[in-house]
Amino acid sequence: MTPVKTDILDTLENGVIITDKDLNILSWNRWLVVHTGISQEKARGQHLPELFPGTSFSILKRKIHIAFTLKIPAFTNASVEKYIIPIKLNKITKSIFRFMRQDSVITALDDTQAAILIYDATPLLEANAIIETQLKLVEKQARTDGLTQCYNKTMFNELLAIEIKKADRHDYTFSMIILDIDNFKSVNDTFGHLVGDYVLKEIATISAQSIRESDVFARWGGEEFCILLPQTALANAVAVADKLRRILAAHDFGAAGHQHCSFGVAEYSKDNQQSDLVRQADEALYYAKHNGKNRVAACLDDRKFILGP
Amino acid sequence: MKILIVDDTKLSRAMILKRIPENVKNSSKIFQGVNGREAVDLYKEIKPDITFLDLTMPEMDGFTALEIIRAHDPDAQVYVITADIQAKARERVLALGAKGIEKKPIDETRIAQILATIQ
Amino acid sequence: MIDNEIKDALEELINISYGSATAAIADLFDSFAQLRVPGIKVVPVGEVEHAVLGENNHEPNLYISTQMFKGTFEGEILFVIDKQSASNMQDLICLLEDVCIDKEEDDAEIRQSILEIANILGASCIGKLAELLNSVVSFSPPIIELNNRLFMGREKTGYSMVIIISTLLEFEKEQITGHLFILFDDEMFVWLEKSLYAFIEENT
Repeated sequence: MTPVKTDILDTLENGVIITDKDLNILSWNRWLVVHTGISQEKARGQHLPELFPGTSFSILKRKIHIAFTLKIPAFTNASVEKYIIPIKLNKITKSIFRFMRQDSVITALDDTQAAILIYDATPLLEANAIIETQLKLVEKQARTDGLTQCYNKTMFNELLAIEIKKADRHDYTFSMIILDIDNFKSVNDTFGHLVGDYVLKEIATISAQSIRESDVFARWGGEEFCILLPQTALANAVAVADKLRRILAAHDFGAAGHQHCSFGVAEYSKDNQQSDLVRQADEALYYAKHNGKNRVAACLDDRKFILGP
Repeated sequence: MKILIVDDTKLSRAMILKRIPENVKNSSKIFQGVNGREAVDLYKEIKPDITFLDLTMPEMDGFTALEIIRAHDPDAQVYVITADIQAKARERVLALGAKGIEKKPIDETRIAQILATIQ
Repeated sequence: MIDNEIKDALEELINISYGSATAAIADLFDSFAQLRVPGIKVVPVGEVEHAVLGENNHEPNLYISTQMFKGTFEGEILFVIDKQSASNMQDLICLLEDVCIDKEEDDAEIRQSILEIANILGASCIGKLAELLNSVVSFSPPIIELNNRLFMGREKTGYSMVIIISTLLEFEKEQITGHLFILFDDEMFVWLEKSLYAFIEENT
């Protein structure tokens, strides 16, 4: 009968270190020779931490202690502990980590010897990192308006719903403004869509700069934008709208010259539905348009409107 | 001899019962309780010569029952048989006046030794 | 599906197994943990999340670690701990180590501690239970998430009922409360029932 091969550890595509309780190396396999450049002869008898100065082995020491005293396998996790043996990665393209990420299992073989098994988890963690980056990008895109880079209607509605809950719970109020560029269709017809887009972008930039940091500015769609003003009563929201109206009316939009906008303002009142608030602001906007444009109108009560200052 | 066995699980009481030597079993009256409250009530009622008491039980745990029993009868012979093998649990039980604390599942020789100290 | 005799026996064996697992942690912390009577429930797969997280369902700051064990006896161990308890536990471990990193900056340290405690608790408990039932198990590494949505897609596995054993890790003085859950599917229950009857037969 052929004798059983005992050097099977050298054929494994993962690291195996046999140590005593104090992390003195009794043996390590070929995988570690290849990845660390330290031969089996040189490693044998060495104190593991001394082979890698600058690397902390306190976690491994604790794991070994647990494995020996409790007789259960101890683990380290590539996404938490990152690695236990520092192995530099020389990958140039698409490289994310400087050191190989490792999972490991530490098992007591008997009362004196422990096996440390090391698995390369770099590809998995790299894939995770890429997915995470892309996910963040997709999440950002899902709440952003492509043209103006401000929030879109979906995001505005989500923030509005949160604001309603906050207002109900803490018993305070807030307001919203809808603004619409007056005669925007003629801008597109006269100067073309590129100029139209430029006007939209300029309005988004100027508006976002003119409001408080806690306010939310979003594109509602087409040439309509909206602003959410937390903890703001109607009169103050009207003042904010009128200030913005004047800034925009004074602005020079280059080829499109001077443009102006109409504003509808409404304040949230308890027990209103989200749709009621939006409708009130929208109807106030309609009122402003029908009363000469370039104006601010506020919804006082359901169906009662007043023109701004 | 009167023996009181208190443990919330039937299995655990049966395991203790099975390990009591036949001769002791034949010459004794054995009572059983399922929580600390019953341990206290049964103790006062029957005044057993020896009590085997669990620690982890619903309604009233073994620590509390032990304390009440020892206050009621400073000579009470209570042995705690428990899965709670924390060093601090042991200290606490002995400080409360238990005669001993044994790790579950208890073996036959140990039960026989304990019973021999009573007879 | 679970008769009283089996439930009673399972409670007792879990009590014994969990007792030794808790002692391992208590001795590590040089502290004292309150032991409680374990809870045993059988629930449909779809209700596992509620049974495990209960009213904490809306609590966003829960760490959940999961660990599989395999063998003649297979299942999953869950350790659930809130952020505050985890942070208190981290303080204890820091004391043991004499080295501390600012935990506000690095949540990795907290995760590391939870994985360690979860592994000690889970592997000791299941290891002891397997030993009592003459079985051998092997463990996969625990993994951790800060999440309260665990059971997505579970229905696909085809299991209908899940047995949930729950115990509490409670250090009153240090204000640490964690929940350990052991989950088995209904197929495993057949094995468990047989082994428990054998155990009862042998010991009573």
